[in-house]
Amino acid sequence: MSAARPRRAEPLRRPWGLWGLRGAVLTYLALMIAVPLLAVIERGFSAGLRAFWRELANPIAFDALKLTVAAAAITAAVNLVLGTLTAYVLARYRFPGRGVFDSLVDMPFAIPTLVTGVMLVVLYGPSGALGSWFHAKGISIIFARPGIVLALLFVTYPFVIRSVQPVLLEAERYEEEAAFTLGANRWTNFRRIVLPAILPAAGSGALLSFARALGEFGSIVVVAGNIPRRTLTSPVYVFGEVEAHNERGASAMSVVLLALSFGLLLLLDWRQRRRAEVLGG
Amino acid sequence: MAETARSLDGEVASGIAETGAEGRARPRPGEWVVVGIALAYAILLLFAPLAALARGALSRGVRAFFDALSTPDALSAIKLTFLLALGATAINTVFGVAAAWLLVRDRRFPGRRFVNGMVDLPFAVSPVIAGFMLIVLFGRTGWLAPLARAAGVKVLFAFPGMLIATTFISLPFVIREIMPLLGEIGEEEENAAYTLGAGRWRAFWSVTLPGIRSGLEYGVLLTFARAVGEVGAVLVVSGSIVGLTETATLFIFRALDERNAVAGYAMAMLLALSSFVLLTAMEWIRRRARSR
Amino acid sequence: MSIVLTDLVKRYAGEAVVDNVSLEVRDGEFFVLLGESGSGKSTILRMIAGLAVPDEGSIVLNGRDVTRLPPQNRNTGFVFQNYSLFRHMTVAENVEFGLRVHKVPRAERAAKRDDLLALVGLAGFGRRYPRQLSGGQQQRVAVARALAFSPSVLLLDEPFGALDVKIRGQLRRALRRIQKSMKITTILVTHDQEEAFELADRIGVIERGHLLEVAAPAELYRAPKSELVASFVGDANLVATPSAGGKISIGELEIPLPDEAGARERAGSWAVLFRPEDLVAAASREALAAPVLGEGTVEDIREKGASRQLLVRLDPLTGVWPLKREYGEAGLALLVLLPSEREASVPAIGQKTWVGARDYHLLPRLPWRLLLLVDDTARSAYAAALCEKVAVTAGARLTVLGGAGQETSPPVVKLRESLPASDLRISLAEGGLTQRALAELERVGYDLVFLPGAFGSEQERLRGGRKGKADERVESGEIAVQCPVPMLVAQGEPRETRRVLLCTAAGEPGKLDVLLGAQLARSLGARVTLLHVEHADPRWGPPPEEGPGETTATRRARAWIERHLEQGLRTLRGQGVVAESRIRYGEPLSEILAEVTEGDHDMIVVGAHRERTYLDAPERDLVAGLVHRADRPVLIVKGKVER
Repeated sequence: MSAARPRRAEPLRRPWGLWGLRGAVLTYLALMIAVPLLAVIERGFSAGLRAFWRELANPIAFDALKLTVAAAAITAAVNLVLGTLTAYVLARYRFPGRGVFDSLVDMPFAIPTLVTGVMLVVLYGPSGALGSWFHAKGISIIFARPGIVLALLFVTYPFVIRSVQPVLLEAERYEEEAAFTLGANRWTNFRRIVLPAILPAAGSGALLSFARALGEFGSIVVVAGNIPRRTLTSPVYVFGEVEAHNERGASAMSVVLLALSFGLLLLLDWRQRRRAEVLGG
Repeated sequence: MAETARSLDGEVASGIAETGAEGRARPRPGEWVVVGIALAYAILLLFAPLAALARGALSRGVRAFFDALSTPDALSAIKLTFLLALGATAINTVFGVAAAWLLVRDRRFPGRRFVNGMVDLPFAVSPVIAGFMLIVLFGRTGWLAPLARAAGVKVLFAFPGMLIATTFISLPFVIREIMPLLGEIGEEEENAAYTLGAGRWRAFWSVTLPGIRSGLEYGVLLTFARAVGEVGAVLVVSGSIVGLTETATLFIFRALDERNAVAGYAMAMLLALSSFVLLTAMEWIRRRARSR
Repeated sequence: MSIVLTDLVKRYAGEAVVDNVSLEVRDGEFFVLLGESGSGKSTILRMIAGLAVPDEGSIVLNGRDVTRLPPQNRNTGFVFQNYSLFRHMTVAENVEFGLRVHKVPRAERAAKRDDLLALVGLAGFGRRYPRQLSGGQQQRVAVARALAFSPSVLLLDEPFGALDVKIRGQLRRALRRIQKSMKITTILVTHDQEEAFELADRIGVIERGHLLEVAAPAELYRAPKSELVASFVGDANLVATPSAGGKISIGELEIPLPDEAGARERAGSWAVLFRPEDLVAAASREALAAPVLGEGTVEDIREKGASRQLLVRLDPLTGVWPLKREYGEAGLALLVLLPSEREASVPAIGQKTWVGARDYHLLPRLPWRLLLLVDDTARSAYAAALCEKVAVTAGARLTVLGGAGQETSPPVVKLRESLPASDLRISLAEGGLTQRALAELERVGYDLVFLPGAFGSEQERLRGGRKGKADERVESGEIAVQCPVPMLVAQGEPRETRRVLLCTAAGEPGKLDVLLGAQLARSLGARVTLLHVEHADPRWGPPPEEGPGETTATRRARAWIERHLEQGLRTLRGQGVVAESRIRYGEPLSEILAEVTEGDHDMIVVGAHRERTYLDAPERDLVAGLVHRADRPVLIVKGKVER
């Protein structure tokens, strides 16, 4: 308002340098993330909404989507239970090999997903050490739906554990001890005190593993066998359509998967913000 | 690692008998069931396949293992993977540090919150879609195709496209690892450097960077690991031209397709081993940072 | 002059955290900025160092205008509250950093570093890392680091805040010694008075972004220029009293007013400061070798080693009231500091004692700031008359806002006659009166606003017949919604204010209404009736009577009411007002209205307990109901009363 405009609040004497940096970072992020995403979305809708729906209504595409969501949901549920349990065991108990176990939890993040697939095929494949046993019982794991879930469980193994662990380590030791002094046994104590405290983190971890499972490709492409309408998941479907030069079909499925992931991301962000508000309040 | 684990346990044991400094108790008989479930699950899901792979890769002997990895195709795949990972890591490190610094320090960064949210997207996007995005972008009718043509660069089915794809899928690691550290160390040390006459660049190099070192190293390793292991995105954009655009993962993919199990298992084993090296390094960084 | 600050302003989110601060610090001076946290003192320091950029004003260091220079080019030494040592560098590297940046040769660097480490008493610590040092040692390193490149000024931001008391004392002495030996101009920011007094050549007291006063420590303590400083620095007994015949009397103490103060000789414009050591206490009048203030009761004794501090509550003195008011307390609570003697003749707690004053300091008080809004309605004249009386008796400063046609109106003419021109500002302009009033309220912190009322039947009448420009009329309803300070809505037939009805009907006893009501009544010369209306539904039967029929619950309620009324009365009497109390049972609004008629009250004081006051909703709000239905002036008290 006044003649002397308020000056910059930061002590910057070379605004050019800063603007250069900002420009470079924005360009980098725009080129790497925003433009490609927009391009895919544009391509998906380029032939109109009707064509978009037609691509998705194709039974192969639709079944792939159903399978993907179902497998991801199962994965998330299993992770929620066993991940929370594992985190609790790691945080609360002392047993031989605990340290090694703890450091190896992150292994699925470090191992290439394709290698994961190979490993699972080697072990659970029809000629694998465990696979042959299952095979003899008439249960097929590899090139069948159980294999998909198994692969997803492997690659998403750390999510829930790593979400819950810090909460357990930092939080309510005192509350727990207070509960013990009040005569609660371990199970009551776990249910009443520990569980409510870690449930939000476990939920976030489960959502993360769900999101990750939706997009998983490398392990599944090896494990699933990719039989249309039976073991073909959405990402593999997209890959097939790209190879077949059906860009529209690939785009339509991509848009759906993107929408799902973004939705999950927003949900996670919202939960985190809300929790921060509650705790920070 | 076993050693550090033992020392950690020792530390706890020397603390209070029942609940140590870290608050861990020896499980009571009934509780062994819980511990057992957790262990059994981890063994069946994680470690058994790993052991099976090792056995599979070495089933024809150590010699066959190394032979499978020293064919020209395998060597070129390893080299390409290494180059891609190195390139993607370099790009993501430089820009990642800049982006993280701006997101934390520059309160007037235009669209800060939006950009902050956008950074997570590569984690949420399926790698296949990431590769497909480049096909759309640089394909015949793509938005950026004219640009690439004008520059005379072949993007798709060539190194540049693979590099972009790898960079995309490993983009958030450095930023996400650094940002909390930047926030934690605060601005005051940088301010102290300014008042002592240091310029922005100087303050960054000698004050900020050492402060975020552990996070940066961790992020770099994560980026590298992710880049090495990427398959979906690269598969889509590379065209898998043997000896030219075939990475280590694509080599496995093809070997399995061609029922060349030994080569596939050997390469998979190599990648698994390399990720163990990275994992160990990461663990070491974590422990060092914690001991500070 | 090493440091010259001129009209510095810094705003965050539109709020001025540093407001027009000007300051000169001499060469080699140790200057301390003293203020509570959030007062803006650190911001000033950061602006000097270049870590924050002022929105207005200039900063000159050693004759060089550095306002727009980045911190790198200012050559200031800055010591941060949390030390901010470079944690990955050794102590030696930390100290050498500034020298390294300025490309000082290695040998010179090493020599300088060793000198500085020796100076701060850390010789031989060079190879350690900051985390291996204690907090006090870290802060010494920070000082050495700041001094390394011979800065032109040394700036310290609460440098000892995070340390324990003993270390703090040691570091203070070390700092003082270093500062004197290097003769470096220094500004230190602190909230700790003791620290300020021990270190400073001069102290600047800062509050809410304003630099209140700059003076040497002794002067600041003995002769502060404002009440705020007086009470911020050290223990203070501050009392206010009207003056008469060129002097002020408190008990037997007579304080002559300075000659030039003639024009200011009005009630409430002077305060008297007694430091605890200025006062003496003794068992009898005769034993006091000082003018007697009065007799009182010892309420508390605190041993301080070399001395002993008494809290004595004097019996009420007519016309004298404490500036730090406590609700529900009568009389004057005074802190008296006595030397501890072996044969202590000090009275015990609960005993009577006489208090006398050996010394005092006279302070001019900031006058009340009143705002009067006038338009062409008849109620404006009433508002102006009430306002005039308060302004004259309280010695207030008055601002009048009105329409352009008001220049010759009787209220304005009369105000010009009765108030000195220095205390009166009249702003008459075309149109937009309500908007102007709101802007003025936003800009200036007024104590009290006088408004003409136009509600109820009055409003109807105005709407019906009168012409004249609508935007030259005071829309009291509009203003009331946003007005942050107490306002007096003048309405009804003009009358002499002899009796004021103070309502505490709405829930909790409103302490602010009682205090402001007391002040207003005092300046109007009126007596106060303190009314409590106990909300009782008529269907519950007759109001509870004292006596055997009374239930436990009602007896308790009655006891509670009586206690809080008693407190209110004590407060009122402590402020020098004649007061009585009443309890009524029933629906609050109608009971208040009934009391107004029965008791023939001339003004109503009521607290508004909401942030916004909607006077246009009489059916929903007690305050609005009163304004609409009582044809008497209503003082609506909201917000904080600062005086």
